Amino acid sequence: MKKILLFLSCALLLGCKDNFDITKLNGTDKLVVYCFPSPGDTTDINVGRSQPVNGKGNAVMIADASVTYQVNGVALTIRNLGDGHYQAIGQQREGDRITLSVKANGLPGTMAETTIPTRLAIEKFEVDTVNMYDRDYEAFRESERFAVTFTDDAASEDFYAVKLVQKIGHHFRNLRINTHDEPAINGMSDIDYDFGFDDSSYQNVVFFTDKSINGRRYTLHLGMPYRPFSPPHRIELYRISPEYYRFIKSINDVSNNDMGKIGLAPITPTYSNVRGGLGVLGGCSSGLGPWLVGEED
Amino acid sequence: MKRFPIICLLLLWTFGLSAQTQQTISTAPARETTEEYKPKRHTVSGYVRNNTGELLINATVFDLTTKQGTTTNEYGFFALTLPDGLHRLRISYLGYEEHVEHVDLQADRRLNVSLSEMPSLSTVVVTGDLNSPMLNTQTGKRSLSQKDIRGEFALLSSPDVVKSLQRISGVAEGTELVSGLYVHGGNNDENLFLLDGTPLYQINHTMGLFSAFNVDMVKNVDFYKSGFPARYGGRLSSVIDVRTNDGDMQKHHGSYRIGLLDGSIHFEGPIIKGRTSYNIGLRRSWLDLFTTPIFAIINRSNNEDKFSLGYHFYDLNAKLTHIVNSRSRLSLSLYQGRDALKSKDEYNQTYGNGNYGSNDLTRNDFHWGNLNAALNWSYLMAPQLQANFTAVFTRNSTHYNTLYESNDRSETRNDFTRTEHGYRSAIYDAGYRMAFDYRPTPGHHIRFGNDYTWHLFKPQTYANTSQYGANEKRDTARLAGSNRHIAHEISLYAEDEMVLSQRWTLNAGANIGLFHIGSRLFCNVDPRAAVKYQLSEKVSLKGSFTTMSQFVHKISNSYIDLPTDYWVPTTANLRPMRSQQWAIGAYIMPDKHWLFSVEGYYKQSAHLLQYANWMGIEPPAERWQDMVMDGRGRFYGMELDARYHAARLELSAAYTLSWNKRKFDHYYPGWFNDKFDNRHKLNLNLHYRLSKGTFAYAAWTYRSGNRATTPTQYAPLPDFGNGSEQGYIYERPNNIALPAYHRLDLGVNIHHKTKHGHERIWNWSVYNAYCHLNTLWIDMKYDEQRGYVRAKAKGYIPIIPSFSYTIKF
Repeated sequence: MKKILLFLSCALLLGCKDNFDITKLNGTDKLVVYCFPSPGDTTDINVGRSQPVNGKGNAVMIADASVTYQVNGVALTIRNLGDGHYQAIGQQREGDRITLSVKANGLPGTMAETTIPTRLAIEKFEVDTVNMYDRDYEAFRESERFAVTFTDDAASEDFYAVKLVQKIGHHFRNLRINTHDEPAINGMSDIDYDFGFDDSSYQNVVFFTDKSINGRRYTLHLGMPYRPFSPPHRIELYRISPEYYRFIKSINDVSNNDMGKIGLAPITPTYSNVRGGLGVLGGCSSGLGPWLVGEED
Repeated sequence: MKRFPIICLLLLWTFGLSAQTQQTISTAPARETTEEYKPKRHTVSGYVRNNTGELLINATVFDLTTKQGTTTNEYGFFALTLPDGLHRLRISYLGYEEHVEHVDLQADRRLNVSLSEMPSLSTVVVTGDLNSPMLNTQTGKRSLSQKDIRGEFALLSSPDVVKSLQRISGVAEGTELVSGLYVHGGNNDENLFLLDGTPLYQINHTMGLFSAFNVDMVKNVDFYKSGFPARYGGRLSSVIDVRTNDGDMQKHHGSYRIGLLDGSIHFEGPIIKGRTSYNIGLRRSWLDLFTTPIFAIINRSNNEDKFSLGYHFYDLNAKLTHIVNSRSRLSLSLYQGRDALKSKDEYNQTYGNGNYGSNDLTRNDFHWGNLNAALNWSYLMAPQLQANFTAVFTRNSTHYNTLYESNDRSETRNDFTRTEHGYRSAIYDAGYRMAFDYRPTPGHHIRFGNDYTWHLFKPQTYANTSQYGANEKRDTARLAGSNRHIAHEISLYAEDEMVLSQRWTLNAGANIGLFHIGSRLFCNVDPRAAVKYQLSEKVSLKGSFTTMSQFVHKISNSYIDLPTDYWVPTTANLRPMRSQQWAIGAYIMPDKHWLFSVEGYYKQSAHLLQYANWMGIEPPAERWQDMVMDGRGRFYGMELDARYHAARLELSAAYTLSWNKRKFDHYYPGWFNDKFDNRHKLNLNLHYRLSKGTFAYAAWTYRSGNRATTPTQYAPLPDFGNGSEQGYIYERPNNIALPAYHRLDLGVNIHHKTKHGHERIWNWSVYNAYCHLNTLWIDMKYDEQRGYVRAKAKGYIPIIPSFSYTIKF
């Protein structure tokens, strides 16, 4: 009897766990299309195939897709660069309506639309060296602070992206921007940082809306840790289409949502305007700052 | 179009009054009613108490002569206007011996009745309990007494109001162990919690492990999930009207209780015998009394790194009641609840003969809670009219302070950094409630009144100070900000509970809500109607229609009730949340032991507010209006309830079949399942009296799992300059249902009387007795080498045994 009781006690303390059958998640492969047209004469298009989580295999790029890219209803020439990368050749301007359809063997075709936003000009650009609070180091650090002035269009709801691009040889990469002093961008309170939450941006591209600056001439204050021999770098500011913004916000929302990952907060669905597939077709117009080169201290 | 419901109500009212005239004639007493002779009518009114002087809420006063009856209101008051002559009044209340009073009514008469508590559960069914689901007019109403709550399974052996309500059909508990209350698909902030008439904004301690209500103080809880009477307003989904005990008017007594994580003391008694009473209850967690010395001992042995952590909560309820005279009564009710979490980490290191070193100090102080006060004057203006004037004050606040100090020393340089953050969010309410209870005839119970609330919202006040520098040169940066909104909320209401005929009763009314903020004035008219048809003595049918409005919202980006959530008002840019709910039901009582009910409901909500910035735990308050989404909800379902009462055994079963769907266009283009869209929910409860002082109980809960959002695709992500990446794609919110949730809770209460007449109660309980680790979320990991995703159900809450010991004196 004692053994039975001991066995029952152990069984109770071990507990029973549920199994989750991933095959319950119905999913099929889908075309994944990314394209971010801006004023100019070439536009990159990337086409891939998704992997449903209940299946086996890898998400891959598709090299033999049929791509149709139209500017205001006129199709442009498509150049296949291989490995799922395509290029549309032809002039396009701000306000142009872009449609993109992609087909590939064995997958449902996709269709997406966007409009290239109006051009954005950086009206004033200043840089100075100040002490800025750096959350990564939890301390004030000597930083380069960029003051980027532009004017928001009062008549429209606008969306922006900003990145700090560093050039090393022929390679470019985005550096992390310190947005601690920039209320138009900063989306978290200090209490969140104190509790260890993060507000990182996908590939260090920072996104914001005009809700707090609507119609104003506004100066963004952005920082980067000061380095005496820093390679050339510059600020790039973009006006982006609503689809572009919603897509990247949804990516960031998931990435920063620590509570959501353990089921304690809602998770934002990944936005897509690619009907029949995944990904995004989002327009953008850029305003570029000057290249800056670090100097010896 | 908006006038249509009001016109309907007026018509119904008119119809009710005319119908009442017919009803009075048809149910006239034995004496013949002729045009020549009209019996005079007199009012018998008064209060129903227990034998300690406590006023009883929802007691039934029934005239056996004319077959007319009424119930006492939340102040224990009743009034019945009857023809002159002899009457037999039966006064009854669940758990008390019924009392029959013979009254020769020749003039208006005052009648105060005292009922004696039954020694055991020998006869548990009150004959003709007018507050029972079978006989009251409202759909979706439940009343719980303190005894009911104590009789339920108690997590951690601490009886809990909210956890008792979670077992009711139509209510989802949300995340396990958290005091969530999702009524008919509504959110957690759509419940109106009233403590002696004052709204309670923070209803949890310990992130939801305990609710803010000390059961020692609770007299009665009226819970409405549909069919809301017009006197309540301001929230969409439910009303929880909690009333506290006044205190024993005759003798002093009290209790001590110690549980697994908390303890309580409670005292009550007369200050002036029969006139003035006090009632005080204090509850506190006690774990910090152990952790503080443990950390002190650990830190003593470590000179470099010292860490301490302490958490406690307490709540204090106090009530003073004074009977001024037979018509007038005053009471002052106070509540303060607070949680506090403190931590301190000190790091000191010295090396190089003391020339080099560093000191770090991190200190956090986090506390939150409520302060509520209600001063009530209850006055009997006329035998048929009772007035209640209440002045109310509520403060709900959260404070957070953190300090970080760092000092790095070398022979030549001393680097110093100090950062201090302080946050505060608060809501203050002050106002009055004027409530009139008028019962001109047994066929009309009219309530009307006016509430006014001045709201001060201070969602976030912050002050950040930073100092940094080297040696004597230091720079200081300060950043401070605050935002506040002042709003005025007025509600006017009138409702009439009408006996239209022997079979039909109707409760109709309207609540007019005015909300003024800045230069905007919102005005909502919320019609309410509930109707009952008594098919036979054993069967009744009901229906109700209600419209509700809500002008205050909780900004939260999680499914748990965090102290960092804050309340904000409807503003010029937002619309008040609104809901409409239809409910129908059938209630069957085949004999005195059984009660069955089936209710169906359909609720649609508009302008639901959802915070849409899914980062961190405290959304920045400066831009909260820019970060919210406006959406809709559609919630419907069916509830089946069965109850069995016998001398030793009580059984109840509650089953819910429901669908909860939401739509936020900026979140997802279509309708999606709510997180707590539990298709099936079943609660089985058993109470059994093993012997005179031993009570055992068991509760089994089963429900379809909560919904969860999981990725459905793994796909390439765009290259913005830092290389190509791959990641998860989430196509639809709450796309899966977690595995079914089920658990069994067991417990036993053993009562023992000492030779000094004190009562000792031992409680043993086991939460999740068969240790089912219910799934909280699904963890997915992509194995790049093998090219597939592994999914695991994650659940951690095991069996939790607990114990409490209570002495009552």
